Amino acid sequence: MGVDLAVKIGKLKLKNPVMVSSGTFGCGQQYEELVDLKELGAIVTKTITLQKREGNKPPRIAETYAGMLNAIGLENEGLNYFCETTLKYLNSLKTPSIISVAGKDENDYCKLVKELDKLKVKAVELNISCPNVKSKKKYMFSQDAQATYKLVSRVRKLTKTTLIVKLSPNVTDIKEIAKAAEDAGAEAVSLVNTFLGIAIDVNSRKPKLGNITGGLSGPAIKPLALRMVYEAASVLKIPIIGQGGIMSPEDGLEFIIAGATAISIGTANFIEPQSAILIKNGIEKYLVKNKIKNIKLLRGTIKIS
Amino acid sequence: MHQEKAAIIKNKKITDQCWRLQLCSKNIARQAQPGQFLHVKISSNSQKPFLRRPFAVHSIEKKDEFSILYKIRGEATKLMRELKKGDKIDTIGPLGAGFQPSVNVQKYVLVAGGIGLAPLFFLTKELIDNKKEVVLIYGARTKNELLCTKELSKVKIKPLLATDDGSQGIKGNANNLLNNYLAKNKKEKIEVFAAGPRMMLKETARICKKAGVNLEVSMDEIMACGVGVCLGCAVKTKNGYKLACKDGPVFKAEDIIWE
Repeated sequence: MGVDLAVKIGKLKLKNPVMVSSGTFGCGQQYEELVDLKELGAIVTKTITLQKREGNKPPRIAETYAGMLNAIGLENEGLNYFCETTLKYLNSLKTPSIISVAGKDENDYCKLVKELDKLKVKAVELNISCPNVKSKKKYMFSQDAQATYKLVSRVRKLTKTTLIVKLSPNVTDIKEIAKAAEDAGAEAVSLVNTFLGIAIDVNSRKPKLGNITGGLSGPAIKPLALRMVYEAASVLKIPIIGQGGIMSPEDGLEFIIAGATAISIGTANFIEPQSAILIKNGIEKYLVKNKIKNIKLLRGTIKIS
Repeated sequence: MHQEKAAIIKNKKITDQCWRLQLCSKNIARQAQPGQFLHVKISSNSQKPFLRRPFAVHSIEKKDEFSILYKIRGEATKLMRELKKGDKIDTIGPLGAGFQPSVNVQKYVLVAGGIGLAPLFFLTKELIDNKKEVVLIYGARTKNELLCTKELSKVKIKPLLATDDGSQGIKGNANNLLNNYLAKNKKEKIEVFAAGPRMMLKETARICKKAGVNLEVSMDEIMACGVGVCLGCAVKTKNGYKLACKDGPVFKAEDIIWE
């Protein structure tokens, strides 16, 4: 029995629901020798900013229990470089790409989206949840429902391309923020970005990261991320791209059963570059075994008696 | 770049703290250049350690066999001691940019500190095979920690040795020997290659700069992906941050901002 894995995120059609997360797969090129890129549902690019960013002072990563902390600081070559080089590569692929963008204020996001809209990119993910970048505000956009609504509304007016908003788990009520993004016109939300954390070297008593704090990812955060997807699914109509510590097909299935339309693989790529494909294959097997013809029929089927 | 499950040929303790792991992989053995590394998944069925670990290619044993050296430091290396002949470990490699010796040099001076000998042994062999004149300067804490003494004599290299306690060679470190060597050989066209602890490399860089000789250093950084996507292994250089996994691990010392 063949099963249908195709899903839609906004106007973007994915032939399977397993994508790779921003900052964990470059633009795909770095992995093309190891991974059959056309097997991926989509590639979310490393976040780009208007200007080139140097990134944070090293050390930028620290291993933790079942996970890692990172504080890269959105190192990237900037919008112009991206449009002139990386985008050409992405457009040559059969796999759709989602361009992740971040800015220090609303105007930055607007400029980025306007430029990308001109180049007819298929989808944009607004990264309003990077924990490792200092902005003028004391908090991230995605830590405030009103700020999220205002930003997404402004950006929405500038483009018809599929608009995804990546949210932070470092909030009191994810439902409120996710709803704000939806109300403002987001076509999907990515849940979740990393959890703020810290690690200390007991010998030097210094933080293990140059940035002091960083974002925690990996299986250590999976139940937390899953809970947030489950909660957000109860209030949203738009698709959720579930992510946070997915390492296996079972992990991915949990997110879909909790209500995610698609899932995204992040940290697992560092350990097993083929993770997304292995997880996709595992999900397909599960559907066949359980005689579920279409992945959509599994979405949000958590049984609560 | 390849990913494959490499079979273990031998896993042998060679000093109190260090082990040599010999592996079978045609692709890596044929393609690896001195200074390049492998990214190894140590445990296939547990998340401990969570990330892969990078190891310099130490030696090409045969057409399809190579080895790495490891020092017992933490959980990952403790687990590696348990690997047995016939076990397989998932490796990605060869990765990164290795040493780039110039052609028109009279002497290639290699400076190794401790386990830093691992990539420099490979370079030593490669240079000797190409009929180059090699001077190997090698420092360790004590006589018992000197690695690969037999293997070095097999390739007819007599390293200039230094130990912190003077139990073999001079009492001092590799940089003391390098300093003396450069002072005595001012007229020769020399190029220096170094691998070892960061503090040693910083001093090696100072010595070479003062003597006006080119130096390449192999940098050890904490790494997640190993292929240039996570941007975690940043090294501060005069041209901004560079990645140890992709732009390095070998860098021109003059480009590095040591701090």
